[in-house]
Amino acid sequence: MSIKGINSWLWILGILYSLMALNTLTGFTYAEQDIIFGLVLCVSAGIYFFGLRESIEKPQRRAAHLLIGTIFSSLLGLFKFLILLGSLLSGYLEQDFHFSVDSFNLSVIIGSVITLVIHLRIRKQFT
Amino acid sequence: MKEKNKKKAEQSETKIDVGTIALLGNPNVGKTSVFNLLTGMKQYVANWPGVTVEKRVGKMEKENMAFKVVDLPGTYTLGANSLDEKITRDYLIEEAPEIVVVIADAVNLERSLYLLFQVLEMRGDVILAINSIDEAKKENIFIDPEELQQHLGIPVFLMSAYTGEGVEDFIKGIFKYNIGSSHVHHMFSKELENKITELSSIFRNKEELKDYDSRWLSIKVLEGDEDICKLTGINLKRNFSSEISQLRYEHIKYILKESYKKPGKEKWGMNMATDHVFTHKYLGLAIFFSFMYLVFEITFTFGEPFALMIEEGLGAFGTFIDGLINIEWLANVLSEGIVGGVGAVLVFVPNIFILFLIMGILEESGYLPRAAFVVDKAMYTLKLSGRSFMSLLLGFGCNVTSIMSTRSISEPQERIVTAIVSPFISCSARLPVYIMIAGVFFGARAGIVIFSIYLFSIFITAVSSIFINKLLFKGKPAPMIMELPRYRTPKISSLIQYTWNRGKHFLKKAGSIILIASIVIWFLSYFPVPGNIAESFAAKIGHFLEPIFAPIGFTWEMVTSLIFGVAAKEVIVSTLSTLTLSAQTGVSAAAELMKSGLTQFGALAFLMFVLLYVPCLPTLIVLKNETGKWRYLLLSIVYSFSLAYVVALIISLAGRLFV
Amino acid sequence: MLCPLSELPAGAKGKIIKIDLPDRFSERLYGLGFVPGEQVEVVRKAPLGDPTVYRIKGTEITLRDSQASEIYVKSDITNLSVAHRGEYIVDSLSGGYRFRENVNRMGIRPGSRIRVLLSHVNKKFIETNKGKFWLPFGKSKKIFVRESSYERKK
Repeated sequence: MSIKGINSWLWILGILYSLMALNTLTGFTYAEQDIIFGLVLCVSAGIYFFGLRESIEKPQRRAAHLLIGTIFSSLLGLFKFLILLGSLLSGYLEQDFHFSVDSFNLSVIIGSVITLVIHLRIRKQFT
Repeated sequence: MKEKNKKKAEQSETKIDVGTIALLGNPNVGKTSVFNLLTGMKQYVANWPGVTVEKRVGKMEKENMAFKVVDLPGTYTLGANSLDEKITRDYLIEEAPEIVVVIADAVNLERSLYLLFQVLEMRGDVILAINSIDEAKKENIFIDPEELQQHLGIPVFLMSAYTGEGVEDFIKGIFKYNIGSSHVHHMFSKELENKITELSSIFRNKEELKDYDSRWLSIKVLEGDEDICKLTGINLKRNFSSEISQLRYEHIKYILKESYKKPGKEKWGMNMATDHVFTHKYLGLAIFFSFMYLVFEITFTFGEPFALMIEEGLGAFGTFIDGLINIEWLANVLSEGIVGGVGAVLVFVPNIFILFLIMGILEESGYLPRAAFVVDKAMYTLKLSGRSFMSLLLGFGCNVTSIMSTRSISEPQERIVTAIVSPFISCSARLPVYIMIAGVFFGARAGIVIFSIYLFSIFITAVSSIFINKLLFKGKPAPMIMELPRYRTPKISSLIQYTWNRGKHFLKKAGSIILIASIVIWFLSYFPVPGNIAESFAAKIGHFLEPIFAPIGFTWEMVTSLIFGVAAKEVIVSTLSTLTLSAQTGVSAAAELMKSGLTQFGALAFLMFVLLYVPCLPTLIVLKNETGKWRYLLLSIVYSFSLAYVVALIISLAGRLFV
Repeated sequence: MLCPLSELPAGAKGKIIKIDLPDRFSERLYGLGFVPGEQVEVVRKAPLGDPTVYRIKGTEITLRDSQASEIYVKSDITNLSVAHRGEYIVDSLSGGYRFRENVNRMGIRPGSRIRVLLSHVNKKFIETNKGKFWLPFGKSKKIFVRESSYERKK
């Protein structure tokens, strides 16, 4: 991936995840309000933004931020998925399903698929 | 049938026990993976006698021969300085295993060989297994095993426990090895060799030292080894350990000159990149806390349905038994006592297994040392290290899991302090009590009250760790010299083994005692008037102890519920409800208490007491297991109870002043 | 220049000369590859300042400052606060934006020349292309310098 590519992705994902964080912190749309998870999403956005703060003469550092940022974001999606699975099973057992479309926090799950793809691409640069 | 059994007996009889193999190596070289490869499922975990360091023993079989395999603790040297080293060295000297296999890291061969040299100074019959050859190939490292073999005079095998490469040849090599070969000596400088000769001749003539290799004793004395100096009675004014270690490395470099080639400068690989972000000045801590939150949430939220399934399954089973048996008390002891008791243990199982799985992933992947590195400074003020912080965090879910996770803390003093202090972290079982009582007594302020309880819990944990450390270890902080190993993808089979071993251990130890305790509690609450808990032995005990708690204003119902709370803190809520007959009046137990005159201060005192008093039974059991000594258990009980009482007293006195 | 390992900044390399720790620590360090004569590299410091990651013989090891301060190394790079009279080139600075602006005005920035004229226990008298200044200990501790090759040629 070229320097330009890395920079672009850092910007895109940084902004995307900041929005997701804001969304989760407030429970604005298609997401249940979850303050701590929102903060974790902020951390994810932070990884991308700090990558942009790295000096241009050290492109491997920027690439590192993209590499770790994307795997972190993907893990968040996996996490959300497992939690949902757990709640689903609990709900099924107690015959009490207390969740809606919002609890899926779709943006996080979709985001994690995108970041996984990017991660696999940037990974090649390091091996 | 008889024929089959006879054949089986014949087969096991014809296996010859050839002897014992000891596995030795630096931490992080994959020794455990090699051990698992050699022994498969035929292994068990125990403790080294007198200490709480894990000992893994297994059996390795091939055709008609069998070896016992002992996994010694990972260590960098064979000195007398740390517990791991002492255990390893004592084992080698006292048990004298037939073969010692030193496991080295192909990517860091130079360092790994230091330990090998120390072993060779001590004895012969050593085999060198160079692990992680797959990673070495990826980095274009070249190793010539024949050349090494020539220089070292012992068999050398290249292998990878991860991919399986070279493992078969290695195992074959072990079985083909002829025990009783000679010792390999490498020479130090002329000056040192003269001293060694001098000392050796003295030792050779001493009757009490005849079991030891005199050359090895001399080297150890020159190094200033505490134990050996005591043993031989010789104490030199100057110690040569610096020169000796330098000479060892010089010799290692000489041997590796032709047989080991590693390409020069590494450009940024995955390791550097990952560390750059995970230990980043600003992101490092944030990432750490994020991971901790994720681990926490998954362990308890994902484990919940399984815990529910078990609870319901047992509940149904209990009801079934109840309906099946006509004798009232028998039905009751079986369904409520035993099934209830077993249920109390089994309910932990999903959480514990998930937790161990995740801890296993964190440890095997290599992230754990990085996390410890990031929080270390803050923990240092508490005389702990980053590693303990991770264990303590788990206490917010369940103290049992946090104490069990202290097992992998390397410094024993730190392990013990962390374990004793963890029950002060407010676990999830106490939350129902807080919610019920605070909800009624503090209304809208309940949230703030509960939050302050959590803050106080952290504060007490911090203060206690300094206090307990001072009390037990005179305030000496443990040193922090830790390796940051390479990151690697954990292997599923080793994760499963890791999780299973630890989980099994918990079930066996905690399970049996909780079962007994549950039956006892059932007995105390059922008799002498079945069905009427207010007249039971337990209630009588509550009434009896009430005067002790009078200064802090606890009623007998509260005292009794606290007694039952020792079994498991969740029980406090249900006991209170039963005793205050709230089910009949339809009002919550807390409201009943309020009606009978409990003030806000009294309620707060009760909440603090619940937070601090004696850890629950499963926690106590695990605490005894992990710290190894009854006195630590006793200390924990006495300290926590006294602390709880004093805090509750202060609050209730304050109450009397202000009301 | 001989200095404690804890005084070296991230990125610096040095050769171990002496380890002044009690046996229980020094033996473990030897086993890890920390022996006199070996090259050690300072990789990075923890977010809270302590401990620090060092690389020795290809392995990364963490040490607290309390231990690293007893390991003496000879390095190209040293802390200005322990530098003797002589000519140096500034290698790096450790400090916030304000600090950098401050010393920048005195002509101290990575790559610039700096000459130590007088070396006292808690302050240094230095000369840069911007003039002569007294530097208190606190400031000089945050400046890392390398011996100037110009001096060696003499």
